[in-house]
Amino acid sequence: MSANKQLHVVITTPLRTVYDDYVDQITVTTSEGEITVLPEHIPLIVPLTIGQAMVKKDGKEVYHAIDGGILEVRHGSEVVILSDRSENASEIDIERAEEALKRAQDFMDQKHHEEDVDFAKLERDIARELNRVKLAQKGQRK
Amino acid sequence: MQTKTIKQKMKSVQNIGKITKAMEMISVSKMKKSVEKRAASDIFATRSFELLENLHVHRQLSHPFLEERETGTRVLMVIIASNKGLCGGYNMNVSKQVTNFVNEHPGTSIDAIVVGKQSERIAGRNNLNVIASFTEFSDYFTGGEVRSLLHTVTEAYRSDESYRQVVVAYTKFVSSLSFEARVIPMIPLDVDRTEKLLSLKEQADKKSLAQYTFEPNEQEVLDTVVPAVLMTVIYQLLLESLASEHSARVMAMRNASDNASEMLEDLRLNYNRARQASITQEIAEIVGGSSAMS
Repeated sequence: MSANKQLHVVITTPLRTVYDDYVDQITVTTSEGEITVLPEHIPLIVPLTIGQAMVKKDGKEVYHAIDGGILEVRHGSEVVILSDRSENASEIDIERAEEALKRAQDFMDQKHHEEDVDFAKLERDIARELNRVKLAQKGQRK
Repeated sequence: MQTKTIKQKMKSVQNIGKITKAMEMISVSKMKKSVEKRAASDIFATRSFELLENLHVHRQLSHPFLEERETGTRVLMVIIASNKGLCGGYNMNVSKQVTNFVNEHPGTSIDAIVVGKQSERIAGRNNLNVIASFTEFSDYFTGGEVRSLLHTVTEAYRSDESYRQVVVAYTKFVSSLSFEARVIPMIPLDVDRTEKLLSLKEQADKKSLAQYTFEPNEQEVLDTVVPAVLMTVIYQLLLESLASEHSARVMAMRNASDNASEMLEDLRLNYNRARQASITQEIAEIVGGSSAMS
């Protein structure tokens, strides 16, 4: 397959670059819902919410947990995801992710009556860990 | 001198030498690691700056962290220095830069957010008002730690209109042998300038000024991108400072190890001399004793 018919996808975080490859398509969760980007897409910038990025290459699907960020589609079938935090689904340790989720939920239950707790942050934590657990399970099923 | 005391001294010098040698090794590996991490975050930095630039070219951006504040008079300074000592002139250099900055801006009230125990002292020496202190950072900054620092900085700037700008005092890592403390402006964010300061690679394809489609709108995109860029900036500054700290420590420890082995050499000479003297003395006593008996 010629390279210009493929998407060059880069998923990068401030800490490291998670993914860099030529793929057939990518599906991401944006604040407006899921979108799929194919090669030759028009330039686009859209914020991402906590969710997943699925890239399809040669019929195989690779999942990434995305902790919010920006999707930028450039000229020449280039896609850049700038994310706060991102992991490949196969890298997620499901037990630890579940533990972290439980911890966040417990904390939420405990602090239910206290006032000086940043609930927005807690909810975000929970959503994030939930997302990781889901993705890790998806990765294991295959 | 007594041979025994010399021997004791030799032993302690030897131990010190061992410790400094070990510290040197540790710092070398830590320095390498922080340089690697710095390099790993370059892609994100380059990409996010490109994004901002692309946006910038075809329309005027408006975001609180991009605009100059006409009204403010005060300055918020982030000081990055080490937690521990034994790293040569590293902290002193940062301190000097801070003092220079203070002298260059007479009459400006400067608040400080400090990273590292030594920066607390630097701030104290320069009579800066410390509003937040991060002294518990681990050896390699995690995303969460950097985020909480950034959050403190941006919240302070956002909530207080009287801040004209945010500056960072850090140490630029040039190579493993040279580094340079300096004070740079951080907020308001000037894309070109900051990019140059971080010496990111120039990207050639600035021509591809495609008219982007924004979904859902420009402001939301900016609200996400600008903090991400700031995060990268501060992360890289932290890592550069860390790399500089470790390379300063490598140098300091290498000097200490060299001094220790030199000292050991001197002591060994003294020891041999003293040992020889005591043997001669003993022989002289024996000879003296036997000649007195006969």
